[in-house]
Amino acid sequence: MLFHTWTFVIFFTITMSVYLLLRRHTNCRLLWLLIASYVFYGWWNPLFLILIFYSTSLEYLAGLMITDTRYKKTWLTICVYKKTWLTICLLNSIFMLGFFKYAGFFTENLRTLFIILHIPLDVPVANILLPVGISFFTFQSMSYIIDVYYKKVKVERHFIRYASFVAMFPQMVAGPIERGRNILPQLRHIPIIRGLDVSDGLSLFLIGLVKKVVMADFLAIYVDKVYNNPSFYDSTTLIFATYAFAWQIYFDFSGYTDMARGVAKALGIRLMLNFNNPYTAVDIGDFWRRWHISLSSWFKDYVYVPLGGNRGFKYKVYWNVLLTMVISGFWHGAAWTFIIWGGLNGLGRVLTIDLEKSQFYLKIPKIIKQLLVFHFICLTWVFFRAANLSDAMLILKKICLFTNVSPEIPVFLFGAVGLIWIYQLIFSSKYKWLLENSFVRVGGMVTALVLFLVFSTAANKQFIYFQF
Amino acid sequence: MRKRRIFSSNTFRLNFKELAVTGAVIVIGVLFLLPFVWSKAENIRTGSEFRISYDSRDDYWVYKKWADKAAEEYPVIFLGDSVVWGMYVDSSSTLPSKINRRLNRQVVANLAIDGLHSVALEGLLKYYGGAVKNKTVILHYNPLWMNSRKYDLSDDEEMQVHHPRLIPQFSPKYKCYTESFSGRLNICRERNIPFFSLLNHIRLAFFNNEELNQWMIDNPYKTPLSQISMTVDPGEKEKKNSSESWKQKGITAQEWEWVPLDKSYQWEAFTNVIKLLQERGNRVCVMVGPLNPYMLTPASLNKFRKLQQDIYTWLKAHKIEYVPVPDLPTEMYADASHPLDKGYDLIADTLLLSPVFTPYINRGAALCSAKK
Repeated sequence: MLFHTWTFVIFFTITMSVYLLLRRHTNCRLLWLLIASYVFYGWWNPLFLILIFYSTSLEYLAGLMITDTRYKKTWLTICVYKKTWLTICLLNSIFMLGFFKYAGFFTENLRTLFIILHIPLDVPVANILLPVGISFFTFQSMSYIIDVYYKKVKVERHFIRYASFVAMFPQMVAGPIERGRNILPQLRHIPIIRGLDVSDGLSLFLIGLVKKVVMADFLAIYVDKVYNNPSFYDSTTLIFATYAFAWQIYFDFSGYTDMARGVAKALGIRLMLNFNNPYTAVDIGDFWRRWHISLSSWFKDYVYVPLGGNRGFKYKVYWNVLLTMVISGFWHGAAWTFIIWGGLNGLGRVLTIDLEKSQFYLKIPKIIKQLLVFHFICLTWVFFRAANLSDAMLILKKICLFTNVSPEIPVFLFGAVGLIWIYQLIFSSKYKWLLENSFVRVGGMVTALVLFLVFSTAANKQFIYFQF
Repeated sequence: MRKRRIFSSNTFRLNFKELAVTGAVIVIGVLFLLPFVWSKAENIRTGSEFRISYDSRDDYWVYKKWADKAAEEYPVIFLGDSVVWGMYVDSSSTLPSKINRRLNRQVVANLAIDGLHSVALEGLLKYYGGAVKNKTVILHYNPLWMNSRKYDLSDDEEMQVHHPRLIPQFSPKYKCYTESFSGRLNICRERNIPFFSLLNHIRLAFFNNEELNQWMIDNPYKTPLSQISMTVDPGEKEKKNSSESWKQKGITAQEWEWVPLDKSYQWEAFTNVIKLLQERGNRVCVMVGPLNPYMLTPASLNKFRKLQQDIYTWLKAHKIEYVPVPDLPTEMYADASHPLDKGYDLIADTLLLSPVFTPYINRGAALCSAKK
């Protein structure tokens, strides 16, 4: 079920009405939220529900086991017992991801390796249906179990509440990847739904809708056209298609999370901010603090810090950054292009950590830094979007050759993107007050909704991040 | 005054009052006022012998405008599918044009569209043909739509339905029509909110039936506004008279099953059309046929004759005036139901000699003159 469809409008109207009726009855309200979430998720394929129910049950049990150590006599047995449950749980999540998401990648690479080494073994390439949002809900569950282990979050003894946290429909399939410590306490109490929450939720939802239907889907037509046949286009077109993809993925993903946050807010649940105008970032670290914030902070807390984080000598820190970014790339997709994308981001970060702190960098005008970061990120997006490694290399090669034969640049589309970028630059400047005027906000919303109405007839595209 | 919290990564945090203003501007200004103003400002060219072109057959905005104009200017409205529209002939050789020429005045308006089966006609009149009231209406019935369960829409197998945006989306449900739920709701939206009908019109009339975003990608340096003009010419210009008969095309005899009247979805819809037209104060006369009997095997022809009789019996029983179109000579058929130019001549002559039809037309014209 997609947010920008009539099906969702009807689903949400029913869900919200019953939810409001059951607001004061915690158990009934949670059960209803869980049923609604399972309907939402099962809409893609009811078989996926078996997976999520199994995963939820195991983690719930593990959470209880990790906490419940009353029959263990010694410190050592407690430690072994807790660690065993944590390991079982993490291995289960990793196995699930590995099986559904990476089996094809591994078998295909193994097959290629055998061919290179002339080993006469025929490895069948696994072709397994990827459950929607598996990367998101497994990461959310993993964070819960790790936090329970390290006592950063109170164990959840109420199964329905825990299951609602894992499957909560607004953010289940494409984030934000929430933490137990943020959501579980909210589910424990009667939600406070004020008029402001509903109007905020609606505002967020509408802006997300416009981002997706008007901008992301429009940019997608151009990006798909160029990236599906990169050899047909000149450098200028390829450069602009890469810019277009940078904005497409931003509008697509941030549009989804805006809608998710809006829906959740109307239900009285506050989800974290996931995108904070990333293309106004002044350095690569700043970009990752603004882009997919919930995932970046997940990797920081559960990969980067356990690896050593900022502790230790300089090159160890660089290694930690690089490794975290490579893993992050692999999380995004089971292909070498994603690993390279992550690696490039890590390399960019490593090479600029010291530069960012230098006096020289501080003296560079902000807009120049923003442009430099944007272009570096665009370079990495080539690998993210290209169909395969050879296409990515072809695109980069053609861009470097700088051929300019009848470029195809949809000027109005880029005009619109330019205006939005200027809006974001003003938003992050001292002139933000200009945008807070009621006329600007209402006028902007009216314009955005008119564009939505115009483009809504062709709105049926999936969200990019669903594939992850 | 309470300080505004930092909201998201933009300033579009609207309170209820601002959301209400936004909603009002959108609903009143955009969804209803804009189409109204557009409709007044836009000039749709319709001359004598006008018919909506093949390319504009899905532009129901244009159809509505043409129906409004025709209802105002013509005493008699001719409704039907491509047989009335004139599939193999130019605009001056269609059946309504030939009748007008024989009457030496513009009496009959051609409100037929290509591919308009009865189920779609019902939707067309319901949502876009409101102007056709208190008129004399000649309603063509083409039995060809009942030649199989597939064309009757009573088959379960999925098929490409003609004019899908006109057929009922939820009730009654046609199993062969498999549009998604969201798609069906979008169609209902287009029928009931003029803005969406206008959008569809703009797409068809100015952007080669492409979505605006696709068009802007295909024409990266063109301005969309420069494509739009306030004068539209949706008349048919391409069609030339064809002289090739069905036999010359190599079409062979067909064994059609024919769906019985009481089980036919198309016939049910047709009876609804008659009812709707009568409820709107129209005087309805039905023209049944033509249909090429030479293209049928003897067994199929027998079934067809039985069906024909059932249709006449029903019309008679419900006191609906009707004119059966007699069988034309074989060389005057272009295919199963469409006549060639000479075939239309013969039908026009036959109709004007019919004791039902001529007084009917004259009465319609006289009533209209009296009103004026």
